[in-house]
Amino acid sequence: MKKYREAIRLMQNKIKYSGAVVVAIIYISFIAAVLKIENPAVQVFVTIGINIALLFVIVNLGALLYGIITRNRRDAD
Amino acid sequence: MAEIKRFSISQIAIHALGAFSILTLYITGLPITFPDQLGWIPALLGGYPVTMLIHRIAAVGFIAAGVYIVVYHGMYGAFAGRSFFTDIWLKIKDIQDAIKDTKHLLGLSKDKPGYGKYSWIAKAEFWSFFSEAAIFLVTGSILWFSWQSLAFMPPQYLLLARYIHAGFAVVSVCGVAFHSYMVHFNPENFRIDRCIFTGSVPEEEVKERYPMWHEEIQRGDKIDAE
Repeated sequence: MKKYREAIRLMQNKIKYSGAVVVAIIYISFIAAVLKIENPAVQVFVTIGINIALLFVIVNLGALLYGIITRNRRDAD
Repeated sequence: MAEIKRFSISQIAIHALGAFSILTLYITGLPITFPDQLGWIPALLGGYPVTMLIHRIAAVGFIAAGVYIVVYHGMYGAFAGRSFFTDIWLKIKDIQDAIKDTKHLLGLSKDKPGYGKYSWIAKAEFWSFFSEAAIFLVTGSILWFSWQSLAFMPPQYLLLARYIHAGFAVVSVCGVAFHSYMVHFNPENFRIDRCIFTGSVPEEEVKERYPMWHEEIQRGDKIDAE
């Protein structure tokens, strides 16, 4: 259990900024999509960004279900 | 360790229904706005008619959640005094907190604001989401009942409703991405902030993160989670 918690702590430090970067990619790709930028490289970026956004939504749905299922489990963290 | 009740069963249930509905609405609605990038989703679900059917079922769940919040908490506030709306209502202090927080983040000040039960970020998230939901309700109803809508509005209004619906959906997804960051990736909560599921928070955490709410509890003020 201690090892597991240590691993989570290490991961937490790594994810601290990468989470913010992922959110930034989503925002920029939506802005580029709304502005309808024709550049092929931008379009690839938009496709990746929008699919990440959708993945984000699916992960959230998973987290929601996980939270509901493990609601009464104290050690679920 | 002592636990403090933060959310009632009713709030937990309505968050679950609202979140489940809105996330389903994104999964089924975004491919209509971005068919080039997300066309694989309707293909996976069995075509656009099935996707639209799921979208409308989720919309019913979302409307039910919104109506429940307004009616139940509104009535609770009117008849029982303090309600969820009392705590989430925007105050001058929230603007001051936002300025203080921004200064702190920019390194211009060492002071961090002491939050009450809901921080200015939580309040901003709730009210922006609430207003977006009202826009979705109006524009979504126009699009859902398009033939009936045409009886009392010109066709270009339908197109306008479609643009507004899709535009605010994108804004709303960005809001949810921010919310996800706060409850999952934020180091304070990583991997998941479980209080919206358990309804309670350890007292130590309340003391540290919501000092004004803790003071209120210590004073013995009526702390009602409804």
